[in-house]
Amino acid sequence: MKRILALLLVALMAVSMLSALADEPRNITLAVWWDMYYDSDDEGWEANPGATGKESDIMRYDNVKVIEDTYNVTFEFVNPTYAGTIDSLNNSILAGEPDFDIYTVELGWGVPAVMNGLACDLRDVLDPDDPLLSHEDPIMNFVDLSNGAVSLLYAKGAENQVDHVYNLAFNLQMIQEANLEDPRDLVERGEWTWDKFREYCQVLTRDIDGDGVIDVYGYGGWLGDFLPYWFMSNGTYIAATATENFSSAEVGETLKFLQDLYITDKVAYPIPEESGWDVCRWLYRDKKVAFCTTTTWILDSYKDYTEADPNLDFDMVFIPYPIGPSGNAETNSTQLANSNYWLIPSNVEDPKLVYNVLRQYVNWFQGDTELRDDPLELEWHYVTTSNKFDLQEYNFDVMMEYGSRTMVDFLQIFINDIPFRQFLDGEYTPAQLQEQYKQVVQDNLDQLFG
Amino acid sequence: MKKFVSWLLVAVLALGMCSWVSAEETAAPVDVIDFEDGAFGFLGLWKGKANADASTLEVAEFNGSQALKITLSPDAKVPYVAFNIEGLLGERLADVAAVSVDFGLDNGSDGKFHAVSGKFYDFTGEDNAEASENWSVYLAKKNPRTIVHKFAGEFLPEAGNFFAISREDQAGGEPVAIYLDNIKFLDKEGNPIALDLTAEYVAPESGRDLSNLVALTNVVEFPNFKTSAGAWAQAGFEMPQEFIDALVPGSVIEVDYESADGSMWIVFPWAAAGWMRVGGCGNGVDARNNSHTIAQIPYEMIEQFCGEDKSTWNVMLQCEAGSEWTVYGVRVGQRANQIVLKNAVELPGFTVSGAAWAQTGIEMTQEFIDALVPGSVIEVAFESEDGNIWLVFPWAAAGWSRVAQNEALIIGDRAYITYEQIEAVCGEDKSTWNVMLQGEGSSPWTIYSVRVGQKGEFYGLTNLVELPGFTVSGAAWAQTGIEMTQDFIDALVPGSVITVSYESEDGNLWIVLPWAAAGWSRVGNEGKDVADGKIAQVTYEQIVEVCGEDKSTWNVMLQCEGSSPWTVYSVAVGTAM
Repeated sequence: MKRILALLLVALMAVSMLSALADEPRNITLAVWWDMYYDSDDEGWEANPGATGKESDIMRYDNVKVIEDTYNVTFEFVNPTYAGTIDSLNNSILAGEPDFDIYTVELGWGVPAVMNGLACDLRDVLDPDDPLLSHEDPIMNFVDLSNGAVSLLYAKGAENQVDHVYNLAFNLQMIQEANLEDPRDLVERGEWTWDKFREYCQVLTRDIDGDGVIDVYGYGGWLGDFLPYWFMSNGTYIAATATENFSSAEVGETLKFLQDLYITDKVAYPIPEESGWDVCRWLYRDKKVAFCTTTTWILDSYKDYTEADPNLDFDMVFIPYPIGPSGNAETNSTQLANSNYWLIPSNVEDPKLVYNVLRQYVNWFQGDTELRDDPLELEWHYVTTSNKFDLQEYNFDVMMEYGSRTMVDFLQIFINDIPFRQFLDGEYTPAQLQEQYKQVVQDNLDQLFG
Repeated sequence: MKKFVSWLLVAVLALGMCSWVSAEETAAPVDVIDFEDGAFGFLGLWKGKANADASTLEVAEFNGSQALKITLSPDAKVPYVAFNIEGLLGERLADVAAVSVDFGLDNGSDGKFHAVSGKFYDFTGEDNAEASENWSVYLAKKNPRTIVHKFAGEFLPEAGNFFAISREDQAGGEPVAIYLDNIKFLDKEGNPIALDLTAEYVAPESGRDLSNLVALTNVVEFPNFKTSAGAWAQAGFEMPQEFIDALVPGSVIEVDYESADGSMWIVFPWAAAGWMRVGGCGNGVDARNNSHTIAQIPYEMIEQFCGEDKSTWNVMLQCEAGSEWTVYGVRVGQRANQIVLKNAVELPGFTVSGAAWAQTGIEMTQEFIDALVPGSVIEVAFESEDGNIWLVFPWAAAGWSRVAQNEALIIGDRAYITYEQIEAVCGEDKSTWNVMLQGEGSSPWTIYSVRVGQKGEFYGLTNLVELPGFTVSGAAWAQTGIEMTQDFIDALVPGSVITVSYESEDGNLWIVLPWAAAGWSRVGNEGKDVADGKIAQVTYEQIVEVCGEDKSTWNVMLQCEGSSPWTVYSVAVGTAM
């Protein structure tokens, strides 16, 4: 009998040990090559040297406990170095055992990873009515890729939406002085088209002093800033998938439109051969253009509106790019994917749990998006564009709306391989440029997609 | 008994076979570098890049066997461990397709694992083309890790080709040592190739690192000045008369050296002013290149500490450093700023030779003529028996014209002749110079190339003050930087120069003072600084021009920017010689 009791005791101990092992929380790891806060190893909000103890710092720290309690996991940031992150992404996932549950990636190597099947497609993981899939989740969003995969994730939020947008903007007083209808009204009525824009540029281009030299052009900007957005305004791109799109009819239409502005009508400021970027970005300051492509950091460079006494005596108003014949106002965007994203590897264990943990990490504000998007924390994005409150708000709303849709175009990676400036000078026709450089685009994509 | 004898026989036979097998193994060719014998003469530290670190290499135990241990110097830059691949592989050099290396890491001083990554560098083909691929050890459970790297091109004999492994990045913590072991060079089928481990590493030719230094003309060598000593010990020789004669205002003493901490200065122990250090230890800071292999001490610095009367310095010249040191050579010469050609235009096909006093040349292209403008300089890469070369304009309207005869600035194997020197002989109207350009020398000569461009000058810099932690990268047109330290700001005085060690895709780089009261300010952009793809220099006066005379209004943030992706390895400010 004693022996039976002893055996029972041993069996009980074994069961209890096994159940203890089963209760050991899973450690969800996020690979990132810089210091991130907070994770389960941190013992207070002070662990983040950049924190000051403000409400959002404490909420971000407390959120780790929410993650642990809600999902019975621990959460850890691991720094494998930049090269190590790429190494692990390309090798451990293929081997069937991803080193990490979540990877931070850059677009240049994150997209090829998705295209090559290394990333989990959340369409296969989440409920079909999950708001993420329709971009309606207030917490998370994803980059639209040509294969439809929901894989490249980023945090939604006002700051992300307005941070990298390159807007079309106009000098309000020039429009008024020319007795033109305010373009905002045309946008409102859905009449803001390439044809209308061309018409406006023709009216606004002027030789004020009659010396035969144009003093004000309808439009001006640096091609590195504006090119992708003009393509987007016609619903197209140069290089978003493994196959080049430079030879497409939509790109041809856009190239023709740009040459119409620069060569046929001569209503766009010619881009100089030397230091074109430096000349063209500041044309608006000297009233040499009525419309331009600009963004907050450009307006802030010379503190155009942030000083008590503004440096400029006119107003800049942001609007969307006019819509081309193949474009769509509903999908038009001023946000080009060029930041860091997260992806969950394709063969990770329980990807839904991993996604939920990531989403909760992002959701440090516990769903209170007003706290996340507190205008006080985003003040700079308001005050850089105008010294008038109503215009600050209007410009911010435009940035928010057209920055909410992130588009992909790898053009920026190899933009210098294509002679766009010479094209805008008339050295190539659209068809010649497309024919001569489509292979250059394809070669770059082949390199990118491996 | 019989059974015992037969067992004994079997045992003896087995032993005999074992020893035979063992003898065979000893004789087999070695196809793996396992460092078990402690030797590693076939590899060394390559210092051809601006960020090269003077790391310590040694064989030490790791993971139960001997391995090559790489420990960073206190500078903690990037070590490049280069292999004499031609010597190791010999006749099978052409067969090599890949290399397999076991990488291992020590844990950090905090006891934790810190991921480390670096690159394999291949220099292959006739043009020694550089290619690289990352390696990384990024997880504790995958440490050590075997990594196979496929070479980007073919290694050619006698082409200066080589292969190196760098260590570039670490995820937090104090720098940890890394280990290399079980290195195999593989053929196309993946089989290891037999190696000659007696091969000796010879540093690849990468040119002298002349960062922070002036060029020397009319050089007088100090014969046989090769000596070593321990830290804080002095050793040297009496100066020969020819050397003393060349020590005049405007001259510089140059020392080729190696020291563990990078320091080097000179000592005049018999000076009338007293036993005198110059160039270190509070008596000035000599100019030293970024590789810490050449030091330069200007005449004026010696004068400052030893007095104006050269005869009182006495004849004994010694060297000294704050760590164990070796000096390989000492010389004195007149200083000249190094010349950089901006927007250079080459005159294609100008590879010609001539006997003494013979002229040969070609007609200038229109592009070359267009680049000949005031402020430009013609650079002639040449060789001649007496080190002399000049130019001839035989069809000039002013008559057959020699230009810069015995007056060209000669720096090493380059001669520089300015537009103004041509103008002085051939007249102000460039069109009358006509198109024929020839070379001439007073001894047999060969010209290898001729270029013209706007003249830029690199200053030699003494009293260098580093801005610690300025190792940053940026995309094209992105600005990144750090706040200046008080030491650095104090050294920013009239006559000072900010020097940046960097790399960028198009060679351009400049500085930005974003918080300046004068507004967000670029300085040295649009080619106004002097930059050669490795070093960029911006003068104090250039900053004044943009940001104003009151230094306090420039504010403390210093950034760099380029027109293509760029990396800055270090930033310092020094006094122009």
